[in-house]
Amino acid sequence: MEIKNLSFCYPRHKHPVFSNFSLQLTPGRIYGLLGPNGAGKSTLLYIMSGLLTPDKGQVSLNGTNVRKRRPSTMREIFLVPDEFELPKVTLQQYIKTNSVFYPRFSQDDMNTYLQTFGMTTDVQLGDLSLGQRKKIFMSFAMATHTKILLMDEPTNGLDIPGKRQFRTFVTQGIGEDSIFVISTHQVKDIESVLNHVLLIDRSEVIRNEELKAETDLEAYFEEAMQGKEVHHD
Amino acid sequence: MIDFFDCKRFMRYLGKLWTEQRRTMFLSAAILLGIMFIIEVWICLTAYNDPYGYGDCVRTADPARTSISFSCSLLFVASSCIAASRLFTDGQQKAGRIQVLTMPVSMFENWLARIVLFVGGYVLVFHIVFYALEVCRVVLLTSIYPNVDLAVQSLSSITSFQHAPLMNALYTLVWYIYPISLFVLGSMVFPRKPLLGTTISVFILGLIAVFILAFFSSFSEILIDTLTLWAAFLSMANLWLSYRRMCELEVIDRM
Repeated sequence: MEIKNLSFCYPRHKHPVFSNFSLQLTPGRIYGLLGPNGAGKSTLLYIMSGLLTPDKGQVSLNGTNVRKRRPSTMREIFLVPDEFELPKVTLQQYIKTNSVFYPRFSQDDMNTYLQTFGMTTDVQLGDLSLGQRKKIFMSFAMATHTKILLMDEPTNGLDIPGKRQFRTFVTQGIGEDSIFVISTHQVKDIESVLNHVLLIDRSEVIRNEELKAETDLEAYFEEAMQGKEVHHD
Repeated sequence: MIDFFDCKRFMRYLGKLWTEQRRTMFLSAAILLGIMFIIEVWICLTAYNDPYGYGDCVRTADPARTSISFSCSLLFVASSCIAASRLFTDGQQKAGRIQVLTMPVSMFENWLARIVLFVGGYVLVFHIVFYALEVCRVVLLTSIYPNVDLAVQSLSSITSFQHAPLMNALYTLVWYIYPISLFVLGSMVFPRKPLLGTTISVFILGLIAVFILAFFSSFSEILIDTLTLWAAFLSMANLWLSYRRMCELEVIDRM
């Protein structure tokens, strides 16, 4: 996935979120997308999944502009947003009606991921709590085996065992040809599973490097962000 | 891989939409049945107010015919417009819109599946409910009023002796499709409040149209022909624009 000369400004905002921003993501890595509030992390994830139109530049996957939202591109990208909705159907119905759009979806893997989270398939999605729905949605996202898996604040709403289960879950799912991008402020929840850090602040890539084992991400973040201005728009 | 339209993928998406929306749709059908039942009962109570009057041997026309046809036509247009404004109901909020727009189906398949389900499906359900109630009315009332020419009614249509029946049917179809197409477009232009936004817009456009038409002293056949052709063109344009608008939709509303 390549982000090339990206410029984006929200309507009725003076300052652009991105201006000539470029980045390349390599398969087989779990990226931690970090940055202060208003740095543009969620915006970047939306642009990467074709949900926002850049003013200039483009995001391409295997040479195709993702903004065109072609089915052949969209079946390789899965976004787990911070806010999401699940229909009021049974999980089995949800899997049956949604999995058909993802050619590499694996029911066995889905069951494994659900087991990791301590969940089963015989549930009604409308009856579940936010955390339970999140576990199911993330399990489904991972079981689709899309090349790009984008997660925005995935540990929000998860209980303490859920956060631990999430770490196991992420390491189970990463493959050689897949890219995981996890955007979060809860760095403690995920620092042990990340192998690459992307620290951005608007158009500036502050850090784009492999993460050494046992790095304290909070201290790493503090150090990298020293002297940076806070965004108020 | 065909990106614009794939029949198998389209059918799968239609199936997914149906699974997710059927509960609401059954509820809407039940509400429609209730409203139409009340309308039919009310019209029957007011129209057949003199049972002994129909008892002599002179055959009389069905007094409820015009009222049923007119009221149900109005209900058809109004409720179809409401159904059409629900076209993007699952994408009104940010969370739902992300799901809708990131589905690996083409925007055309996405749009068409919604038209089939929310417009085509509703029109079908309306006709089933309407004719079922009409058959019940005729069967029940035939024994009570044997001298009344009771028959299953249809929705109001444009009748002009200058045109062949097929042309009349086409004219009628255009004037039914036109308001629905406006609400289809409105559901994409005002995704958050489609019914309110479109109703206000239609009201303003209607006022302008009435003001312009006031310059014409009478409704000649040529004027009606021209207006019908214009409405047919606008209906197609509305549907095409709603599809284009869906392609342009993002997680934020720029308007």
